[in-house]
Amino acid sequence: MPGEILFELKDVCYHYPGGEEALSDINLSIRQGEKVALIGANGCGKSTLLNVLDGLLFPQKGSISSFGLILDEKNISKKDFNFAFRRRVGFVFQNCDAQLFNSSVWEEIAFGLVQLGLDTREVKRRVEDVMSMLGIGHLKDRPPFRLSGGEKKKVAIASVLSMNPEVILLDEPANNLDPRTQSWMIKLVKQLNHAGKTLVTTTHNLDIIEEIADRVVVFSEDHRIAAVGKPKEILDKRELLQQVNLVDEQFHRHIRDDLHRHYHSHN
Amino acid sequence: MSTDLPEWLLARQEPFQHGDGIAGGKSIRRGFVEKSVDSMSLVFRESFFAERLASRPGLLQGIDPRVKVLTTILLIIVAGLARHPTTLLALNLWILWVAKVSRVPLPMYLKRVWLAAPLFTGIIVFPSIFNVVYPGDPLLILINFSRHFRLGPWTVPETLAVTYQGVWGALVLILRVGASVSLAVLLALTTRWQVLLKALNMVFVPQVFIVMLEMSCRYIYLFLQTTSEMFVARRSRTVSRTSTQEQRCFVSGSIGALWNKAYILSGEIHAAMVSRGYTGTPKTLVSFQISRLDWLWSLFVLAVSLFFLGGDRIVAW
Ligand SMILES: Nc1ncnc2c1ncn2[C@@H]1O[C@H](COP(=O)(O)OP(=O)(O)OP(=O)(O)O)[C@@H](O)[C@H]1O
Ligand SMILES: [Mg+2]
Repeated sequence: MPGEILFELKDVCYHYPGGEEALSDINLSIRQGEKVALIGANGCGKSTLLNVLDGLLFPQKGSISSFGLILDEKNISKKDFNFAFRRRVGFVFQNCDAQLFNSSVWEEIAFGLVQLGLDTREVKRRVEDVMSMLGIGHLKDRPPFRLSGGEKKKVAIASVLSMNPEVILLDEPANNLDPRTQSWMIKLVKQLNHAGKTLVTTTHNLDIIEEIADRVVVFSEDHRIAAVGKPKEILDKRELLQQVNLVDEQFHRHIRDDLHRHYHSHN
Repeated sequence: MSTDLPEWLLARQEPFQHGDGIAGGKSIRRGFVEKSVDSMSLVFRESFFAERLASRPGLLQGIDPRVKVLTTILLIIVAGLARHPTTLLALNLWILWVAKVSRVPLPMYLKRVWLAAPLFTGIIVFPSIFNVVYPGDPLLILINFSRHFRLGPWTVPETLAVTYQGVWGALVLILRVGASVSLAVLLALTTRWQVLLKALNMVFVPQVFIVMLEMSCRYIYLFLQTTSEMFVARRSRTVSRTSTQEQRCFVSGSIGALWNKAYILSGEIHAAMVSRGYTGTPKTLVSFQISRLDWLWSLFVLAVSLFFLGGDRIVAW
């Protein structure tokens, strides 16, 4: 089912100014219609990779192309490419406080649409739709930075969904969500994927990766890709997960029945 | 990573005894610095994010913010043109009535306007009521020197007196400032902050300025919140009372951390804006919706303005 290549990274290295390497020799391609999950221990570079994919950080070494064009600082500063790229790629940040910068929830969700130059009626329609879909209509006049953690996350997701991007980068979307909302989130990811969207999600929750991904990229602690594979294959490789410090020795997999699998660690 | 707890963490605390209770020891009070930070953030929240008043059903709350901004400006001009204290007094009373039908609690409103405005204007105009500064007909003679004398370039008149013109002028100025300030306060109280900013933008204030104001407002809020959170976090780990000196040290030490946080956050916010298509020129949604009430209010304000200005002409001459 996956179609053409949307992102192609070749030997990408990135280090933050004055810092050590956060990404080393990343080779990865992401195809149209895929669900990709990025997993790895804290600080292994998942968020950095999403920033690179969104054209916010530019690798010092290696190259990245998106939609068949080289994604670098020079190209993205061109108006047409910038417009086309931003419209197609949406990014839900890990830190909601950074993502929510408008003075009301309504404006927050409308921000991207206004930047894209949609007309007022369409902006209103989309904002209302997204708000009712996420059940946050009652928050519409509240300043986003005064919401609860989970509410913030929903607004952040809404502000990206309203732009109807083709590729959605989700940095730990299930964080801060209550169990019911979390399973709603998983359903949403699946539905978006059904509708043909490409999704790249980072998560620490191994329970959900079978549902949110059909390909898993495992990062090692030295900021390299340790493995790429189907969720089932990856989850079965306990040594690999241990080696990248994602799980400990007690971690094991319960198989209660064929349909429900459950991962956790015991003492 | 290991979960072998060190020995001291395994030791239990002695059981809670009655002596540890409320009766014994001095109470730990929150220090001066912490209280200041808390009340600063409270004031800020109250004044900028007070949505209670702005969402009450009242006269001004129902009027389009842009119309409100324009009519407020018009009324401030009227206050500036009026020359007679009677007119200004009447204008002030009228504003009070508007405040009342907009369900603004009057004691709070009066305190806000009439405590600060006359005080500061008063200080400025105080010297001008004396004939030494501004000559005029004496109203009240304070000291009689019984002769002229010169003080450098100054000629001091034979009496020190409060002049009729001086008091008149001071009265007019104080009433004018009072009216203008109450109009501005009324506008701010009955309009949500973010809407007011948008309205200002539509009227004459440049977009960039509004965006900057909005962002700084957000930052200040975030800062105060972070600072008071740092205090709370510290208090939860503080066993004994801290001195003001220590609190000051804590604040100055944490300002560095705060700056760093701010720097990183501003970078992240910028990235988030760029990610959603921001290219440097802010765009906002324009939606005009002027209702019949807005027209009625505008006409009413226009009539009131003409009435006051006309009346002013009549009483002044
Ligand atoms: N703004 C920054 N400046 C300097 N170094 C940074 C910055 N952001 C991240 N790093 C460093 O880069 C490395 C990768 O960070 P990144 O945020 O990508 O990790 P992550 O995999 O998303 O971790 P987590 O699971 O905790 O979110 C880390 O070692 C981190 O310390
Ligand atoms: Mg991260």
